Amino acid sequence: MPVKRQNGSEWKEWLSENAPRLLAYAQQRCDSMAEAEDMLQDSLIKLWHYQEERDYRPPDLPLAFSVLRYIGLDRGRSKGRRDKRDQKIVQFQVGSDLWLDTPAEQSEEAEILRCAVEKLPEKLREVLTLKIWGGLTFAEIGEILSLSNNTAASRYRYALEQLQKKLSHLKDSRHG
Amino acid sequence: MRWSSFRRNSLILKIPAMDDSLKKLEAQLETLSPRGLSNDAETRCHDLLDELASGKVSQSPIGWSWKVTSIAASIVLLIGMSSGWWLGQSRGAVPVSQIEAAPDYLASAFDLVNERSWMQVDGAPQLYLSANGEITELRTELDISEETVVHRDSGRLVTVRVTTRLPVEEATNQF
Repeated sequence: MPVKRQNGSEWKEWLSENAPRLLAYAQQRCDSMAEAEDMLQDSLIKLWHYQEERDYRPPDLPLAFSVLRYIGLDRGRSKGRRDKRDQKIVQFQVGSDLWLDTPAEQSEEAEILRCAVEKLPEKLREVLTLKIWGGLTFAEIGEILSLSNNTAASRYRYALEQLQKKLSHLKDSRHG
Repeated sequence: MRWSSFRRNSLILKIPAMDDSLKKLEAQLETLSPRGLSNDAETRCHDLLDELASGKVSQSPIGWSWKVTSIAASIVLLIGMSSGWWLGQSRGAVPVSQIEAAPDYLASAFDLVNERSWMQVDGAPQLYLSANGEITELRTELDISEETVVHRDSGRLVTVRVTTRLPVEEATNQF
């Protein structure tokens, strides 16, 4: 149908604009970039059908993050917890599959920061990702994660404080 | 003082404004850019969107309507209840065996409410002295995962708990 095809191209634009932030979040809930891409693809199908009532308009970002979260939880369930832990250990040892790119001009500082973000506890990193790279408000984050606005804001602040501590520690250890 | 303004003030007190160092850190974080889709994934997504737009892809892989899918999910819910799931929190738990992951078209009729998992030791560990003089501990660890889902149409809660027993045998010097 021509109307749907037109919306298909709108969705492609929406995807190219938002894929990096959605992938950054998906990556928090799985073990590899390839799996995050699969999650995003699965979420497109769900979102498309959710938007049927809204003339197939591209979805709002909070809805897209909610669907990604649901898919991530669902995938986590079907894998064994033990399996996941083993894979994470393997991934940690390999050290590839980075989800954040650092700017070339301040590479060392940014690289230290990237390492510190990846070592944050999952709950803090999730809120930080949704806020910084997802561009969501605390109210939206709270709704997605079933938290109060206050808890979302506190976790964000705590994440920043943890990062600050880790940064100074990492800088000290790198510079002897 | 009105409740709304009291609440607003208390919120302000709870989360003080961030200092400059944290704001600087925020700005630094924004310079890190998340990676986009690989070329291959982008092509797959675009193909998928074309297929969705042309109506070739249905969310339900067997092509059922949403109503039929929901009815099917309700039937699975009833079968699940009769084979060992339990509703709500007040009833006694019945052991479940041979759980299989639900296909996507059924799983989509439920929303996850809560999930948790933990490990615990079953009973007291047994110690014995092996022939080579090593003290070995024999214990059974339980790997328990619990999920609560809500059936979207009926609002019913279903909790599924899966317990995996793991026999562990290891040398010890902790008594």
